Amino acid sequence: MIHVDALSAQVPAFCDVLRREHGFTIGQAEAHDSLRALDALGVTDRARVRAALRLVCCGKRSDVEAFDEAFERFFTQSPAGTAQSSYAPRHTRPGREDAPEAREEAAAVPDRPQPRDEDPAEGDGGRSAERRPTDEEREDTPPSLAALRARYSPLSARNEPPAIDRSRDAAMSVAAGRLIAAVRLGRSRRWKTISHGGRFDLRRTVRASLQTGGEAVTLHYRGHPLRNPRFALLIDGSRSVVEHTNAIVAFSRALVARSLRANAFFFSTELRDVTRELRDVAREPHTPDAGAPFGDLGAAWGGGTKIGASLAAFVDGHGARVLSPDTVVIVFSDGLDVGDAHVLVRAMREIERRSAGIVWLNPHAASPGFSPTARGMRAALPYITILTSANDARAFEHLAELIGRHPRIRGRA
Amino acid sequence: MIAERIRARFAERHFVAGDDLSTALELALALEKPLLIEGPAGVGKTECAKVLADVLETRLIRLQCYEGLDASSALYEWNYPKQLLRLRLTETSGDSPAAREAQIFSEEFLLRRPLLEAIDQEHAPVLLIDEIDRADEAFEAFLLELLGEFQVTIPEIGTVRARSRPAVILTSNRTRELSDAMRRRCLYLWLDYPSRDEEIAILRARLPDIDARLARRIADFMVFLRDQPLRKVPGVAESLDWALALVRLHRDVLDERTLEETRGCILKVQEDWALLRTQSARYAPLLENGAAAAAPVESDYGIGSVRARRG
Repeated sequence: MIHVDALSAQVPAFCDVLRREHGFTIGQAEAHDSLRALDALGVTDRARVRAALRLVCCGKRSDVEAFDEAFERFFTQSPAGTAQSSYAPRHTRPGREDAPEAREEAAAVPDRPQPRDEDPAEGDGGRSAERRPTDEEREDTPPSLAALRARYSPLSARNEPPAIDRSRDAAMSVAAGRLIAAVRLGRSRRWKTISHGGRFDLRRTVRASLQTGGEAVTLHYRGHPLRNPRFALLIDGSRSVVEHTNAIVAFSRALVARSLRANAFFFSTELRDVTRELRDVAREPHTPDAGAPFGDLGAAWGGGTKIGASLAAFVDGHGARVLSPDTVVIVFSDGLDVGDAHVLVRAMREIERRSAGIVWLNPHAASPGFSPTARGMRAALPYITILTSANDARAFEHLAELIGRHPRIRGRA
Repeated sequence: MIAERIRARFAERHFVAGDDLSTALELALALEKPLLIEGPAGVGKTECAKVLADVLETRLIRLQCYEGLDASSALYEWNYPKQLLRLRLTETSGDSPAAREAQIFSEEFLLRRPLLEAIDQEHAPVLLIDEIDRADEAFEAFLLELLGEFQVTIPEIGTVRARSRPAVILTSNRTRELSDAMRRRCLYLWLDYPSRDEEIAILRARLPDIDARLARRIADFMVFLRDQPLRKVPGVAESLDWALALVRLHRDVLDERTLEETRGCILKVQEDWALLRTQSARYAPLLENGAAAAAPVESDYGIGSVRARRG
């Protein structure tokens, strides 16, 4: 049970753990609100304490699960004051890597109770396999754990995360700019002050008329501004295409850097949102030996291909946020799908219905005699607006033209 | 405890509030912070604001968000025709331009829209900002001042501070991701579909004369349905509609034919009907089987409550 006197120190410490080890965007204000919340609700009922802290500290649905687990670990298994150091995080957001220190600390003090699960193959195997075992754990490590670690190791040759070719930055950036400018989706339904609008902007007109003694001499107008396109890039990183991905990864980096409305995903047998990582790379100055920015991509890079399942995961997990009538979806894949064709068809139909159009880049489309006969390609074909290939900056500029001219990629407002 | 009281008073009004929801409402009132409720469609997000206003015996001010909603339709607008007229009428009054400007940009010429109305009340109302995800990012940014400080800045008049802080509830269906700044200003609650027992409680609270067994059948079937890869997953609103339809049709049992006739209450996309048909083997145990399903068509001969078997 929770001790009241220790609580005022524990709650800020817990907020600290959430922020540092789980990447929650919370600060002093939330710690303060947490205490106020407990003050209002009382601390006698554990479920209510948890509900109160969850309400204050969580910001989105994905936070809730991480919070519940952190709460269990923090308030159950560690004695007061030792919470942070004996604490092994699992739901860490990618890109925040202060967690390993906490793990090292934990490993250095073996007589402390270790609140972790014993079955390494359970759930998100990639992340639990990545943790360092303590000494006594290491002795009776089953061979399967070692095998598992090798499988998910970022050093394993077939799972090497993509390097970003920064030498083509400038050209790719130009191409990305062309693409953003080329997509024309018509006008939004919002009213804005524009010079050639269809209605009077009375507010401005009345203001201006004060200068002329109440006579509206200078007229101001309102109208509907142009719609801004959004982009979703889905990049296949499976073994069969991995050597062709350099250009598209460089291009997606340029696109997410130029547009806040662009999102990029990698998939192989799983899907991973890499928008934030790509954007972080774009912010850093250009250094030739920048390390791999993606961390461990796990099953999202360099494995087999499950296009259907990955696209379905995209629709379910990110569709609400990313897909809109303004979204141009760009898929990069060779269409060699090992999954169920029905899943792919259903996902493609859904994406097609909820977006401005699907552009499919097949690295083999440029080779002479190409015809879309791969199983996945055949299944996806009816829903594709443009099927082509692009492997350098020039080709992407050409692609921008192609998309801009295409009659089907238009606004539906 | 206040949560208990909220739950009891919600129950009086036939609204079943779970632990999470009642704690959230209590905390939102105690901390005077807005409460952001996210969740699938039809789980009672909007309804709980209405009932809250009823429980607190205060006004509900509702702002339905839509694409293109802007400050002039949500917060305030100047009454331009009146301003123009006043300018014309005072043309010869000899006042200085500054004085005339001050005159037409005074409270008298202000049209109050829902948000300004909400913070300008003597008795704190409940402000419901519904489906905030439908409004664009610009409007969301504009709400930040209001939700953080409960004040509104009108350039011509100055800052209007809330006389009494309204209880604010925002709802979102996640068609668009909200900004972190917005989330930080709110308490956050994820309201999911109710569990089987909660759903039974809801059905019995809203439809007191429903057969207990039918309510259980409906709840079981909804649990099954929400597990399927449907285009449009039915919410509580749908199961209430369905239960009401079954009660009105005097169906005390849930069989294949009844399902066929009333599926429009719960599944509202053609593809989902097709999917349901392919799953009939899996949901069969959830239905009443045997004689009821095989019985010949019944007719009420247009009289409504009379039941007679044909043939």
